[in-house]
Parts: sequence; C-alpha cells; structure tokens
Amino acid sequence: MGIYPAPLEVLVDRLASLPGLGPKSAMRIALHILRSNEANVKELVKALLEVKKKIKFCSVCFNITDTDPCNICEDPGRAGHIVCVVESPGDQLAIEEAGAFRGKYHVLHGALSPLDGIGPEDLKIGELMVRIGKDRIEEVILATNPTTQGEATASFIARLLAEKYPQLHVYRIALGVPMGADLKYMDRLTLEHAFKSKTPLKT
Amino acid sequence: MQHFRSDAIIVRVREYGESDLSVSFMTRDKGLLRGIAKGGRKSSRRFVNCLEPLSLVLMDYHQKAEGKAYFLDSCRLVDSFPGIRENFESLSLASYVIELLELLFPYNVTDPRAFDLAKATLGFISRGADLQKVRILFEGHAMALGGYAIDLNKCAICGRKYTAKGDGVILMEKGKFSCLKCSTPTEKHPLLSPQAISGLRAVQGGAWETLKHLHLSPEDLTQIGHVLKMHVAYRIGKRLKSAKYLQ
Repeated sequence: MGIYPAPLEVLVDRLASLPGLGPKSAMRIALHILRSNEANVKELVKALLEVKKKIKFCSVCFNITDTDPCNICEDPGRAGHIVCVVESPGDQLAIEEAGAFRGKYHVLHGALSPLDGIGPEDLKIGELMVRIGKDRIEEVILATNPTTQGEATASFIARLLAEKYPQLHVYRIALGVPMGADLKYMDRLTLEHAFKSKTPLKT
Repeated sequence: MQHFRSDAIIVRVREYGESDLSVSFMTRDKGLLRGIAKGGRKSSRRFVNCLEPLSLVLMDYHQKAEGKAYFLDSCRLVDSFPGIRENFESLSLASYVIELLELLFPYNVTDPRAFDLAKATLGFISRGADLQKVRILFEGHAMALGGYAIDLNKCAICGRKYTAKGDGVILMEKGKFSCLKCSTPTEKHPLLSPQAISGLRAVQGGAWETLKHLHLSPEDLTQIGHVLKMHVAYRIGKRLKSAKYLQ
C-alpha cells in the first residue's frame, strides 16, 4: 500500500508516464488537479478526449490536423512545389513558428534507427516518393535533426530521390554555428560542420 | 563515492524524467553500463554533441556506492564516426555491431577486447571499408570472443584432425565442423571450401589488427558470410533488430 490514496497514486503514475514528466512534476500536477474545481477538471477530461477523437494525420503531409487535408496543404499562398521534410510534427511546428519557410511539409514520423528496429518501411518515406511525382514537387529540403539517425535518414532519402527523380533539387538544411553564439565555445563537431557548409558571401 | 574516467561508446540514449537522459554505454574497463545524465537534455556544456548513439567519447562518471546507479558528469567527443551517418547501410551495420556485442557481453560481463573490437569496427565502417568484409570479420571475431567459435580443428563425428585439405561441412546445431565422409552438405549443413575454412579460422583466431590485411576471395566471403549468419542465428537464438536491414 502506498503512502497516498490509491486514486491519487494511479493519477500520478499515469501522469509520470507522459514524456518529460518525472514523479515530482506528476505529483505537483495531480495535487493541482485535486485542488481544482470539478468544472475545470471536466474541461480537462473533455479536451483530452476530444484531441484523441478529432485530431488525425493529414493524408497529404502526415502532419497532425483536425481537417483533412490540413490548413497548410490547402493554403494556396504557399509554394506548392517546395517540400520541407521533417521528422516529427514538433519539428514542423518549430519551423512554422520561425516563419522562415513558406512551402509545404512532409512529416516522416521518426528517423531511421536500425538499433531500435525502425527502418524505411516504418516511416512515411514511400508516401513522400509518391507525393513528389503526383504533386510535381521541384524542390525538397531535408530538415531532419542533425543526430546520427537524422543524418542517416537524410542521406537515405537524398539517395532515393536522386535515383527516382534526378531532375529534383534536393537540399539539406545548413548545420553549424547558431546565431549569437561565440566561436570560442563551439564544440569540434559543430565547427567541422560549419566549415563544411561554408557559403560564398554575396557582395 | 567513486569517480571514473573511461573511453566509452554510446549505445542507447533514452529520455528520463523531465530533463535527464538514461544512457547505455560500453567501456573498455567495465563493459556495458547504464547511467543517468542529469540535465542531459538541456546541457549545452557538459554533454554537447556527445550523447549520440555510436559515438566514441571520453566520459567522466561516478557511482555513489557499489551496486548503485552510475551518474554521468561530463563527456568529450573523441570520434563521432561521421561515415556511419552517410548512408543507411553503414548505420545498419554499425547498429548490428553494437546490438550483437550487447548480447554477447551484457551488463556485468567485461572483456576489454569487445570494446576494442567495437571501436575498430565502427572506425572501419566510418572510413568506408567494404561492408560485407567488415561484417564477416566482425561476426567471426565477436562470436569467438563470446565463446562461440566454430570448432574447425577436427571432424565432430569421426574425430579426425582437419589438415586444410578438402571441403568440409558446418553442423550448425553443434557449431562444429564435419568432414565430407561423415556428413553431406544440406541447407542446414553448409559446405565450406578449404580456403574458406582457413579464412574462417583466421577470422576467429587472428589478432583483430591484422585481419584487415586478410585476403578473402569473393567466393570465400560469400561462403563464410552465409555460415556466420546462420551461426549467429543458431547461437543467439533470436533475430537481431538491426539484422534485417543488413541486406
């Protein structure tokens, strides 16, 4: 028997199983829920159920959406011939918040990781290949994370694209020194990438 | 509290709690370990670019008491093996190397040669060596280190010593060799030429540093590769997750 009442322990267990939440934060949230009035808790439960019921994957880009196709895929103001490939909806959201890209997206839902048994068939790579031919895409920007798995995924997709669509322009997002950083504090790998990705200055 | 500093190969990294990471890593002196990198998800100084699977790092870590969990203090990247990231085939083989060594040398089983083998193999893969050859050299050597070398010295049935003349058959279920007088080649009992047998002997018993100079013909490589693939499957008893991506 635990030191807390059973229903509270169950709630803490459930919350602690969520990504990014440890037992202490889970307990803090559980106690907050306990202190909240019943109407607020019902609203929370309703929101949780609705998100599960209404949110689905866009049939074009596989981003999460409540309409199909999603707002971005339906937006005529966006460049339909440019696709940015990202690993997860969170990555797409980060790019969208930056406002730096006005094309369309394709969400892979993961990265290649043979050690975890994740191969090309587990990602939305086949769908990307079909989409490029169907939607007459001219440019693909591979924006997977600069991790071992993300880099291998980008290389894998780039090779497939080169074989199937040799006329397609394929880019990798630049890797290197972040804005506002100090070179003195950069690690070796970042500096290596920065020098590999050097670009000519336009004067 | 005991502090340690070791070369380590990062094996797996998982999110743990709010800002920590649970890291499996292979060291030369203590074998496979698991530790917690407190604040590892947010740290831009102590663990920058280091906690990437299949990277070689110099790791500082500590253990509060014998038998308790390890805690990672900081890491410095020694080699990221960049060639591994350049294509899926290299990543798959590198993953296979780590997965097989994890099974052969699990937690609490230490053999410095396993760490040296992992480090050298990842280096070969990263530098763009022939992946088929690297796989064969690695598999044969790793299985031998793990105590699963195929006995090629004498026929398992008649006991006659093998003198490197004539074809032989590998009895997969026994992990042993048989002469052609005692066994006939079948799907489960693959045939090996004398050259392939001496090649496999060298792979299993030779010093790892000298193996890269070992000459094996394409036919030998195919025969040895087939035998080792079946041998790993028989001895390990399960299909490795990364194995299906090796073709």
